[in-house]
Amino acid sequence: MHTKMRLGRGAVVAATTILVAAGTVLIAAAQVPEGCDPGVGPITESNRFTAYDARRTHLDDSPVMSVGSAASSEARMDGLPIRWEAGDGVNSSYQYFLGGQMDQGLTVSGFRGAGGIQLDRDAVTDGDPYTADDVIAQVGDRAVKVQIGEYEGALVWADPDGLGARPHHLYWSDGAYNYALIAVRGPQRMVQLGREYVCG
Amino acid sequence: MALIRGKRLAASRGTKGSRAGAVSLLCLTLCVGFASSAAAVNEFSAGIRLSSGADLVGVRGNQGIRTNPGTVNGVVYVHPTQMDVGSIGASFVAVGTANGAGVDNCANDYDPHWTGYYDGEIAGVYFCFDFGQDNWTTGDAPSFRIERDCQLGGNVRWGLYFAGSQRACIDSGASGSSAAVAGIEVGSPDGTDRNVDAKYTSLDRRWSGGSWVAFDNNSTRVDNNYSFTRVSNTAVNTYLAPLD
Repeated sequence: MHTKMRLGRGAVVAATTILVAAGTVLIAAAQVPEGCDPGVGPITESNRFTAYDARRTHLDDSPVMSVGSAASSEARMDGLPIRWEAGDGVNSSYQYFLGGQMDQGLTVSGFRGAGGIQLDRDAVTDGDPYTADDVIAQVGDRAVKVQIGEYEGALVWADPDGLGARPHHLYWSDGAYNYALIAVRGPQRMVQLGREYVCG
Repeated sequence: MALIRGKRLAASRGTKGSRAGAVSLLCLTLCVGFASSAAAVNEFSAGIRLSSGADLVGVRGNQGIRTNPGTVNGVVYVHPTQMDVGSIGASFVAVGTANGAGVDNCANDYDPHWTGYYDGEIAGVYFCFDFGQDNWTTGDAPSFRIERDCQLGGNVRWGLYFAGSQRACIDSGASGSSAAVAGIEVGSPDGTDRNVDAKYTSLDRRWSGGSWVAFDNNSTRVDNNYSFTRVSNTAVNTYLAPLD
């Protein structure tokens, strides 16, 4: 039995819309610049580090809430709400994002170990920006150059803190501000977070 | 004088595979970067000046060395003065005197004299360098200063000065600090208290755009049996009692 399928006018419009939308997505995907691409390829990092107790001195693992105040914005990073802010808000802005509530005794390493994300922004006030090349000049192959939006970034797998965690640090500059994103996340996720922040 | 910019900071000689180098197998699936901590105990006595605006740009004073610690193998004895550059706990630079076990590029120094050093953590990577091998001894009170005032390629960076000489000029993305610290630190494999005393005098701090003013510590860290005395807003004692 031969069956002829006749499409109604509505179905034709819907099908056309779907095809156009699919084409638009394909075209958009092809136009996403590398620095905003949510897909991040493999990142090869140095395995070298300096153990926590192999240092002459250490910074006091202070409570995050030693300085600053409770955040007032609705900003989020990696789905986490902003909880705390420090800095003067003009030349320095340090934001702390955490799933749970902050408490007075939560130290910097405790914050990172609890999955917190820290976004530091410092104004370029007295000279050239702190670029990916500057980071690489200081730490050599401990840093990997990555693309963050239109900017070159430097990703560093940091030395372990007092709780044994090795956060990643991501640095980039837009010429007006120097940025540092610090969290215990994998290298690709760090790059994605940086791109989400820069590219929107 | 050693310039940090353009020079690799961390040699990390053989630290991979050190006693703190093992990555937890459990964390390979649940975590993204954990290294097991070693058992060494680090104890402090320090006066701290905190800045909520992260606008501290200098600390200076004199480091009064009061003890020969009777060095013990494996123990690190330090008189550090530090600035917590940028946000609290992210990066730091430090200059001072040390004795005992060495780390990184800082050598072992088991004798009654104190050696100058600078260290820190910038961009997540630790570094340490010695200067003035055995130049100081008990009774000396060398000057120190950490200030964002040295020039490197036309850009202002963190200068580390000790006994009147610049020892390093260090690059950083932050132009201010959240804290300045003056104290003692002992790193001991078993946590035994060690007789290390330091009397800091003529302690000042400087705000961005401001002049030098009294250090006036507004915080401290004092571990276990160590002691801290605020002598005045420009002087603190950090020690294992009794103060020598």
